Amino acid sequence: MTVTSAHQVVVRDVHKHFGSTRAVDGVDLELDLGITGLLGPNGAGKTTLLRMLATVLAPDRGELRVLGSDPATSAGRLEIRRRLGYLPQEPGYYKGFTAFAFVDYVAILKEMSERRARHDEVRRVLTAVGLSDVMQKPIRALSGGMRRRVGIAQALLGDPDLLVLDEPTAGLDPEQRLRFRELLTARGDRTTLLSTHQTDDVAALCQRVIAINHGCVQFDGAPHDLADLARDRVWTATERDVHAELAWVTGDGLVRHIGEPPVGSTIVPPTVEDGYLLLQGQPVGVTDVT
Amino acid sequence: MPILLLLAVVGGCWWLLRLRRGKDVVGTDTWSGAARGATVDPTPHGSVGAVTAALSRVEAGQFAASLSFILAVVMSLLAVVVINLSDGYENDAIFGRLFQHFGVLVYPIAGLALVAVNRAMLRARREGTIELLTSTPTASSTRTVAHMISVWPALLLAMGTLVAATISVLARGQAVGSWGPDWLAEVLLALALVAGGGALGVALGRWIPHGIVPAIALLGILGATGTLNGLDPFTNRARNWSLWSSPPPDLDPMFVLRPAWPHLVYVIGLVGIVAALAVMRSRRGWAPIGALVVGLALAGTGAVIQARPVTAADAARIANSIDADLECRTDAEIRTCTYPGYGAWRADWAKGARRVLALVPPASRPTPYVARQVVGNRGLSNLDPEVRDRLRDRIPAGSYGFGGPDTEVTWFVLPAQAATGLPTSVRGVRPPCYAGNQARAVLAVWLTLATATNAVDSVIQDPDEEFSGVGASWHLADAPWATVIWPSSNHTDADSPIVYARADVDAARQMATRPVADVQRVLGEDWSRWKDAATPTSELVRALALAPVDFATARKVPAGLARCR
Repeated sequence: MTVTSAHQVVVRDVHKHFGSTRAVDGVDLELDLGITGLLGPNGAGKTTLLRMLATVLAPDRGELRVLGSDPATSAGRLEIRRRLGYLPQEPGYYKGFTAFAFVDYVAILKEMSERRARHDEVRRVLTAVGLSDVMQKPIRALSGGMRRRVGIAQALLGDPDLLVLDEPTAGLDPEQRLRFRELLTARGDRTTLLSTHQTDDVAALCQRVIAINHGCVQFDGAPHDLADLARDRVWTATERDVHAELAWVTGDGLVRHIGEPPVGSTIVPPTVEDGYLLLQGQPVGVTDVT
Repeated sequence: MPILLLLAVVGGCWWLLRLRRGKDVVGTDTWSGAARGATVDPTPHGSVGAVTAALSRVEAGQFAASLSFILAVVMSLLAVVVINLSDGYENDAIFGRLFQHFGVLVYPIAGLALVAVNRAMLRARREGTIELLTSTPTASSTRTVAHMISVWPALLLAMGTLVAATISVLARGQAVGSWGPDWLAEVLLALALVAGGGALGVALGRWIPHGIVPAIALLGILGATGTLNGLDPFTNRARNWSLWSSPPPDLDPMFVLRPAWPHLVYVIGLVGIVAALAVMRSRRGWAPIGALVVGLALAGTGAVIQARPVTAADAARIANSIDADLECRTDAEIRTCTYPGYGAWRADWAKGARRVLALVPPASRPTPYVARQVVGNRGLSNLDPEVRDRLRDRIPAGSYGFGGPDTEVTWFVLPAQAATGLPTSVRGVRPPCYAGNQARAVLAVWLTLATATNAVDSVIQDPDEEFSGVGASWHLADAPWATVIWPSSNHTDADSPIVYARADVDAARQMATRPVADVQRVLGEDWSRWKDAATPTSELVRALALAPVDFATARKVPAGLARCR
């Protein structure tokens, strides 16, 4: 069966196993223009799914269609890669290169052979991520957050039709995260898929969110729909309720609960994080659980 | 000057690479503003060739900045310095031999190119960028080819080193040989070795990606080179399969038998095989398979041809080559023939000959007297029999070798021997002849003693000295009554053609104490008689009223030698 679709990305019953581990186990989804967030706990299969979409990993079973091309064929992979921007979870950097030289190197690999135009593009993306002042510094001299921005910059080269970002905001400070959001939203009508553990990034950026766990899609919808999963199931109290599924102390000293609220509870509006946590049934990225 | 030239080459490489780098851009932090305001020009996809070229330029910059390349520059500079500081009169430094050493001159460059390129190949693995690189449209095989091309700074360095070394030798006037096709083949061979080093570095990086592998490969190559070069050059022609097949030791440059062009084809074939295998790791299309087949064909053909025995035509060419480059000039009945670059020695040879011949009656002088530089007998017995047979009768009279000033005695003893009818050359494979108890031998020694300023010290040789004649050797210790008048055999290329009797030398020493005019008056009356091989020393002693010497043992011909005719 060959997948044909007008969607930017089509995933049909895709499986990927590593030994006895089912990293991706029968995923079906379609992506269209816009920003899609991919949520899931560690080991859920997010990175494996992104690597398959980025054509660096072949599925064991199932079919993929990316930007109208089939990554199972070499011609399809070439066509996809020409229109793809990819930030791996651990991209690696040539630490002896300057930021400019490294992004320039990737630009060459992205077939930007004309030197002047390529250098203009490298300056553009480095400036876009706020690294114009340090682009001639060796990468080994840059902080972790700056290196992450170098990674983002190389993914933005050529304004790709499909941007696949694996935890792009890991290591970024709050200001950088806000700027990153602004950068992505400025891409306009392009397809972006990002995996993250930052549910507030998803809430702020994405028109759509997909949650996966154990290699399967658990949720696929708008961020407010994910938040709505927790509607009327989030309440605050001064003390912890032992019947709550999850509870943690918030900054204002109140205990925020998720679960079946007791009668008379102070119900509060749910967030994407609340919905996600309820979906997972376990604390993810939650600190100070009491 | 050559060192400056080499530095200029290195500086040029650096400048070229610098020119290719992006300029520093310092702007403001305009993350959001730039993102909103920037317009992206669609960048057309570059062709594979254009991407390869762009990538190779970047990698060449990294290559030139690598520690390995810097080491290669330092080693090349040292090599040129050593050539400039080495003894100017050593045979090994002459041009003909130098260009056969081009291969080993660039061996360090090739080895360090292997290391540098291999390290660049493993960079993605080391830094963890393989996944990112895989997601780009550039194929792995394109990156492989770009890495192979990136060694061009090493090729420039090699070329600069060869030019600097050649200029060093030319500037010292030791350029013996010609700029023929073999020279070009040796230059190309050196460049092929450097390119091969890069290709091997890439191939190892592709197939066995581990940092220790280049070191093991280098040790293996050096070991194989040493083993092959240790084979007898005339009985085991597989010696030529060594990447750099050294010229056989103790053999003058004209006699080197390694066929330069087949060896070049062989090495180019090997480089092609390695390069094809490197590409085939990630791409198995017709192009790499075709390159592999062509490489195998070239390497096989070259290997077979260069391992064949010397053909009659080659032997003739080699034999003829000893005359081809000689430049002769006649001045006042003295003809001097030298190889290019050795013209300055004509004056010394002529000076010795004039002094000696001035003591000889004009009618008895060899006219013209020929002082001819020869490639010498050293190592001649090791030659391929086919070549040696052709050379047997070509070693001419007047055997002035490539030796330096310490061979001064030969400037006098050779014309002295020529003027007294004694042979001046061992002529082919025969051992020296024995001139004991011949009046002409006494005359020859006297002429030498009367004209040379430092000949006396050379007259009596150390009894332990071994003289290797052509095809035979003998020891003075076996014939203590005999001696030779010759500098140490290490300092000349021609073996002494004459073995004298010590008694005759003693008689000559007595003559040397007499006024020259007195001796001339007695001898000049009947020079032809004294030149006659049948005239014994005793007659000369009587004619000059010299004190008696021990002629009894002087008549005895040392074992293995024949009496001079």
